[in-house]
Parts: sequence; C-alpha cells; structure tokens
Amino acid sequence: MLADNLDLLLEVLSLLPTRSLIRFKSVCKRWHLVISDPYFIKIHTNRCNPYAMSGFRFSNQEVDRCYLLGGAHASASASAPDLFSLSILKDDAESLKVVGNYRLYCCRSFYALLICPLMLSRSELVYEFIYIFNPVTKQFKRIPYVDPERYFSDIILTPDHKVIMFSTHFIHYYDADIRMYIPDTQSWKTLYSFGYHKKSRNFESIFIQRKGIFLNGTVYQVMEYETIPETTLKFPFCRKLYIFSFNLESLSAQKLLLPLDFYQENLYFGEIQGHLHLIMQQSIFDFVFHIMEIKEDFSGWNFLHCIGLSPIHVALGEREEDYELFLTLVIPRYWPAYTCGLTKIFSYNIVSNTYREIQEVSNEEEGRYGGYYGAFRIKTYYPMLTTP
Amino acid sequence: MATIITKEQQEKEKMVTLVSSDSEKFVVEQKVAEKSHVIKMVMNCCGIESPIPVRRVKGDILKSILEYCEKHSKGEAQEVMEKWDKEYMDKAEKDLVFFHDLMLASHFLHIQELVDLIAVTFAGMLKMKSPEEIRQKFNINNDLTKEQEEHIMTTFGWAFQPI
Repeated sequence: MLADNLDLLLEVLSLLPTRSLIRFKSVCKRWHLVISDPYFIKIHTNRCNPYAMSGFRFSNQEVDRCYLLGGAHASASASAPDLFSLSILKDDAESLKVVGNYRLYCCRSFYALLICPLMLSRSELVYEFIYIFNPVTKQFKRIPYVDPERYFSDIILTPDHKVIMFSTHFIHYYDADIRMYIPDTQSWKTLYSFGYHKKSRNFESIFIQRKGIFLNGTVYQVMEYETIPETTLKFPFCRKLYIFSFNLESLSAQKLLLPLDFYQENLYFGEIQGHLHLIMQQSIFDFVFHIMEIKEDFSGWNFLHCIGLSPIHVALGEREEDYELFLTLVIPRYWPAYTCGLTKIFSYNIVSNTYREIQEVSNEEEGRYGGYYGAFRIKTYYPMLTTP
Repeated sequence: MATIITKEQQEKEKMVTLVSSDSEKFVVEQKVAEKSHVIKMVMNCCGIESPIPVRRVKGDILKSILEYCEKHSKGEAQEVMEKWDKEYMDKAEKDLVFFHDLMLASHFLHIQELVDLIAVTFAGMLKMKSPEEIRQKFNINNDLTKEQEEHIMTTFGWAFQPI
C-alpha cells in the first residue's frame, strides 16, 4: 500500500522525526533501504526543524552524562541512551594502535554531528585525531591533527561540512589563528592569523571561547583579549570580550565589543532564524538576564528583553514549537544560606518572551562534573541522520 | 469597473466537466479544476468544451478532491482554511484505504498543497507507532532476517525505548 509509490513514501517518511525513522528501519527491507539512502537523508536533514524535535542534552566534557529529553520540552529521564556511547570510535582508535592512554571526548555538535577529539594523555593537550561522528547512524570520519605546537580552541562545522578550527599556540597565547581543513591533501590551511596584532611589549593573550557558530558564510566566535602592562604585572588587567566575525569567502574580519557592564562568564551565544543572540547575566549576585541581538550590519546591539529569574519564581512559559533558546542557569551553592546548590535548565522563548524550567541537575551530579563551571557546558543535541 | 465585473461573471460561467474512472460526471468551475496542475494543462491544450476524463481516479475520490479544490479556490482567511483542512483530514483519515487513494490521486493530479497536507497527517499517524504496528496497518511483509532485525534493535536500542 503505502510502499507502492516511492515518491509518496519519501514524502511521508521525510516528515517523521529521526527517532521514528530509526525504529522504522526494522519494518521491512524496502523501508530500511529508503531510510539509509543518502538522497533521503539529505531531504530529511533539510526538513528537520531542530527546535521542534526531541532532543538530547549532553555535557561538553564528559560524554557519559547524557540525558534524553522526551520531546524538546518534556522533562528529562535519567537513563543515558546508548546513542551517546563512543565505543565505535574507541574501537577505531584501538585498531589504529594509538600508543599509550588516550582520552576521547565530545566537545561540540553541529547538525547532529559530534566533534570528538582524541587526546593523548602521555603529554598534555596533544591531539591525535578529531572524529566527526553521527551517533544516530554510527558513521564517522577521521581528521588528522598535525601541529603539535598548537592546541585547538574551537571547531566549527559549516553546512557543506567544511571544518574550521580556531587554534592557539601552547606558549604564546597571543598567537592564535583560524584554519580550514582541506580533505584532498589531508592538511590544514591557515586562513587568518591573530599573532600579527602584537605591537607592544606588554603581555598579551587571546582566549577563544568554545562558542563559535557559522551563519551565511561567516564564522562568529566569542573571544577574550587580555593585556598586562609589562611594567606593573598587576591588576587591573585590561580585559575585553568581543564577538569576532570572519567571512570565509572574502577573508575579512570584524570585531564587535560586548556590552561591558555585565558579568561576562555566564553567557550564551547562538543563532535563531538567522539572527545572532547573546544572553548575559547582569551580575554574579542576581539572576537577571539580558537578551540581545546583533544588528544586521554587525554595528552594535539591539537589546531585546530582560528576564529576572529567582529560585522561588515559577516559570510561566507556554509550550512553543519554535524560537526557543535553551539557557543553562546555575544557582550558586552558597545561595541562600549554603543550603541549595542547583543547576537549572531553562528554555526561553525569544518571541513571546516567556521561559520555563526544563530540568534541575542535582548536587552530586553537578559536583562530579566540575561544579559551577561544569554546568555551563551543557548543550542540547538534536538527533538527525546527517552523514559526516 | 463595469468591464471587470462582466469579465469575472464570464469566468464564473466557464464550467468544465470531469469524468471519473467509473464514468461519474462532475461539473465544476474552471478555476476549481485549475487547482490540479495536470487538469490545467489538459484544459490549456484541449479546451474546456468536451468532458475531460480522469481515468485513474474513482468517483468518490474525485468528489472529495473537488470539494477540497473548491474550498481552496475561494481565497478565505487562513484561520478558516486551517480549521476546514483539519476537519477535512479528520474525516478522510478514518478510512485508511480511502485516505491512501486520496493521496495517490492528489499526487497523480498534481495538487501539491493537498499532497503536503495528507503527507503531514500521514506522518502524524505513523510517528508513535512500533514497526510491528506499521506492518499490520499497511499489510507489509517483514522480509528482514532475524539477525538483521536483532542488529537494528541492539544498535539503535534508544529509539525503541518508550519516551
């Protein structure tokens, strides 16, 4: 019946969420073939609306701590699905006879692909490979990491699967650059170098935050620039946070300073419907968040909303399909009166200006993974069929 | 002003006859029939004087399709249309064979809006089902071997867990 007309079968199946499709692989051979077909995967990936799908949440540093969110909005159950097991990559590393102990972890995700660097423990921060892995289809691609003098600060994947890397020198922190992977020669090509900007004899450093995104041919990154005058070596250091944009075609770079008067550690940077959004906490002592959007011409900020969250506050949001941002909020351990230390995950709707609490991460859980700072690494992940 | 009205009136009077596979005749306005890309092409090259045979579509299906086309050629407010579409789908999806034929026919007649609407409804029907339920519902033979099936179950176990 439904299987008789291939056009219509494709039409119907491409509207289904990934979870259902994976299950329907076991309906019959024909369905299995259709769902595994690259052409179908392409249609499905293009149709996916990541904000309306069921998602997973993963922690940047530790892969074993993943939660399944039943639908993007339902509360999480604590059973870690086998989806996030990196055992296939571990098997691959074993077969390549990687010497000594190594550590494999997941640092970012783009279009449902996980970026998993393999780090050797015999010397700090030396990377051997970077895997690009789809845990849904269990397919992966291996990319060599060549420069032993540099470590990678962030990796960004473009929709046509170009791999863009921000790397920093081990000793000279001001020496950072942007590189692109060339698959034909299996090498990295430097596109832009920050090192040339060092003019004075002050101690300068550039810190690249792991928040890069790609939009319309341009990569955006949150960067931190710090100078310490050579003469004093004392506070106050001059510290500036800015959004750095780099166009991959014209190779032109731009900078946009972040608004200064905020507590700058707890910030979210992301894209929704072609707009770049930033959420910043007003100060470390309160739970007031400012939501800002970068102006189209990259000239400044539009202040959109300000939300005040308090631990007693009841979240009011409606269940919306689109335009939702996930916001990880940490309520520090010392507040109030050393009794509760909670990490909460909020979902914020950019259109209706409402938010609601999605999940609470308990004390022990959080403690195991870097406490206060660990919580900022929580990301949402949406399974798709994309091939690496 | 006056000329425009008469033009509209003239167009309203342009009727076309469609004949289904079981020889049932339907007389509809030209703009209603134009919703189907295929019929539009036929009308353009053969004119509207003689009845147009729609040989692959049965009478009851064609009636239902024309009902949809008529509603959608009126240009009503979006909310009204959405509500009507929902009721239309609720009625159609009760009978699976009819629903399936409706989809095939709208695909054959190239009415993309209707194909999309049916595909979304269809996907909604399938979404939460298990493979076994799908096989039963659509009368599909399970031609996968035991090992293949088990392999899928173990590799993608998470997709089979209840939410």
